[in-house]
Amino acid sequence: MSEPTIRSPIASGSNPWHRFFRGVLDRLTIGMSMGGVIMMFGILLLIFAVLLNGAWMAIGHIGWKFFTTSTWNPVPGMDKYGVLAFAYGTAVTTLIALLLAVPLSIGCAVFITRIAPQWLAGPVSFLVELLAAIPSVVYGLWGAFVMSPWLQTHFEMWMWKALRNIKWIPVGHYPGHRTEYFPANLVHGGPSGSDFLAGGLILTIMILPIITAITRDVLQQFPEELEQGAYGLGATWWQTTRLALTYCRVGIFGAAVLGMARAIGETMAVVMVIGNTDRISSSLFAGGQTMAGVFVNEFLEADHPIYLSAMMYVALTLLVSALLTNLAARVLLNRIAPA
Amino acid sequence: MFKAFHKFLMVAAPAALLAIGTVGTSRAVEISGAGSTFVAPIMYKWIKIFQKSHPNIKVDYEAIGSGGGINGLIGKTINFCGSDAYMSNAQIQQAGGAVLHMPEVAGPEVMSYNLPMVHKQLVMNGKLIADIYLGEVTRWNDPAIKKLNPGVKLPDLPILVAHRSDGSGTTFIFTGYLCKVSPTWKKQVGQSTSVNWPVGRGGKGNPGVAALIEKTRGGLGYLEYAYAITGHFPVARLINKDGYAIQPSMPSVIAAQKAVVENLPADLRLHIINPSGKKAYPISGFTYLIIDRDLGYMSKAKAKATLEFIHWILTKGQKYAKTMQYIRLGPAMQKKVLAQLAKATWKGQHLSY
Repeated sequence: MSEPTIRSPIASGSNPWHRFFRGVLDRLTIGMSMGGVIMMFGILLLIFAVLLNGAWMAIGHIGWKFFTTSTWNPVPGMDKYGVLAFAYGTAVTTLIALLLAVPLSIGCAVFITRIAPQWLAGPVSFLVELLAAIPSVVYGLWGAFVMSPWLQTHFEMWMWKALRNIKWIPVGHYPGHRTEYFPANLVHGGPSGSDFLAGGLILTIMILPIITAITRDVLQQFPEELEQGAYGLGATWWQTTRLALTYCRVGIFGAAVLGMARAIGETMAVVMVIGNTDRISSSLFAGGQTMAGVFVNEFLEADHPIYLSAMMYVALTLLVSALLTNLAARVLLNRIAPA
Repeated sequence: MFKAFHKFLMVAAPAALLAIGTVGTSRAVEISGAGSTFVAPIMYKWIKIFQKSHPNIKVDYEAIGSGGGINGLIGKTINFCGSDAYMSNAQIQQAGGAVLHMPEVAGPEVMSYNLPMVHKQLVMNGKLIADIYLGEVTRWNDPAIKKLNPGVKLPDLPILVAHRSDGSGTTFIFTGYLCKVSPTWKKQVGQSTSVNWPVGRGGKGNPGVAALIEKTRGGLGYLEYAYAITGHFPVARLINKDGYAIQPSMPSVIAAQKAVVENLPADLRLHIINPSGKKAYPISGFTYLIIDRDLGYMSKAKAKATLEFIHWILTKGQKYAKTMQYIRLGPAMQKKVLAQLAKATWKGQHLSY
């Protein structure tokens, strides 16, 4: 396919008035889009500057220890602030959500684009998108009053009974010198319903629609001639689908990155089900806290300067880590992108 | 078409101007407050009723959290602040050095639990609650609980401790109580709107804590009285300073106010924690209206309206407390609070309200 030649829009046309207006319009459009870019960049810089300014006091007082300790004690006079437990919580819940949501979403998108008959694909698609329209706090309340009790009495109970005595690999020690084994350690402490698993599951439901919707749109772009070609060469349905997924991998990866971004930043729903403690535990049944969660929990009542500054430090950490993960995703994307 | 529009303009524009003019001439004074979410339900009711009898005053209240309210008072961006925690000395200095704290209603805190197999109301004391929250008492059939509840068959269940995950005045009062009854708690944890909890899980707001208690057999947590009563949650009787087991209720909280009213600090900054008396309930806090002692930073009309509104809350407004499940001020307490309000000035001058 050859590129169509593009004439400079400013110089084209025969009527000088048309030419003039087109020139003005073009310049205006170019100016506006550049303005938009500058504004977006400016807002990001501004947020960064405000957070840095707010966190300055905490950075001076706590420094690097902020990233290596996990005690969060905001009592005036005791003031100890470490973000490690919250960073761990964010990482674990996001990971659980991605591990569950990505395969589910891809399956869902394949169903909509390649399996479901026309009359079914539309409604299913619509229902999945409807999930995206539910406000976060509604997920939270549903999570706290419906999902988490069910998790505790059914799913976690079953998982606990299945795993608690399976001790394959020693991975460490609990306080009190008992050896910690994998995978029994994943269910240590017994079912509670307010834990990393519940946080991860609620995030799974929340990022499902965005990943599904984008994956569906990408799969619809799979070229007809490749599809026909594959079948023509004798490929089965499954082989063709695999080809489509491979062909669309960049888009699907992008969808997962967007889902991840949402999972990292999600607040209310996670806060309602994660148990809100500042502990690090390898057990999925242990309570935890995320960086965004501690913000929504404590920011309003952060009533003395160093406490408030430490909150800003958390926000700054969240912003920088979100930027870094997105950057890493971009690098990975370039790796897998077809040349 | 154009003509019709023109006609419309000719009629509508003066009418609109007139409308703006009439609003302008009635000179509604607008005052704004911000802070405590705990007091918000009754505050909105107060505002609605107050504005009916005072159409010339428009009151606006934003429930942004006590800390936010205090910051508003420090920054002089609001006319009055609602707060569940009283201001610290450092905060008062930041706000200019002279503020007035006026308790408006009291809010007891209750210990709620989930033990469907226990049919008798449980009794607890301060030491036990502190030990549970320190992680020293971990099971419901612990001898310490048995001793306080003779004859009650207690199950062999772990205690699932629930606390607030969000910074809140409720936690401030609760941890204040634990500091008073347990030296270990005071040394290891302390009092604040958020603390470093030794054990348990956090739930956001009263609904979050209630959800944690409700879903697990063996759950225990502290809730605001109004929330627990409207939700029909089981609550424990608490042993007070003089050894009586007290049911959280309006009479027992008014009795608690009565017990402290004689020894109130001059600035009324206190919570009613562990008062003595036969009928006094041990954990309740006040929620405060806080204003600058001198309201010179706002216009005279606004200062007058602010004082009028607060005076109305402290007198006529008190009778609405009960229907909203708050506890009104006892008569002796009310007198003290009104005396506090009388200290307010505008540029050094006492205003009538």
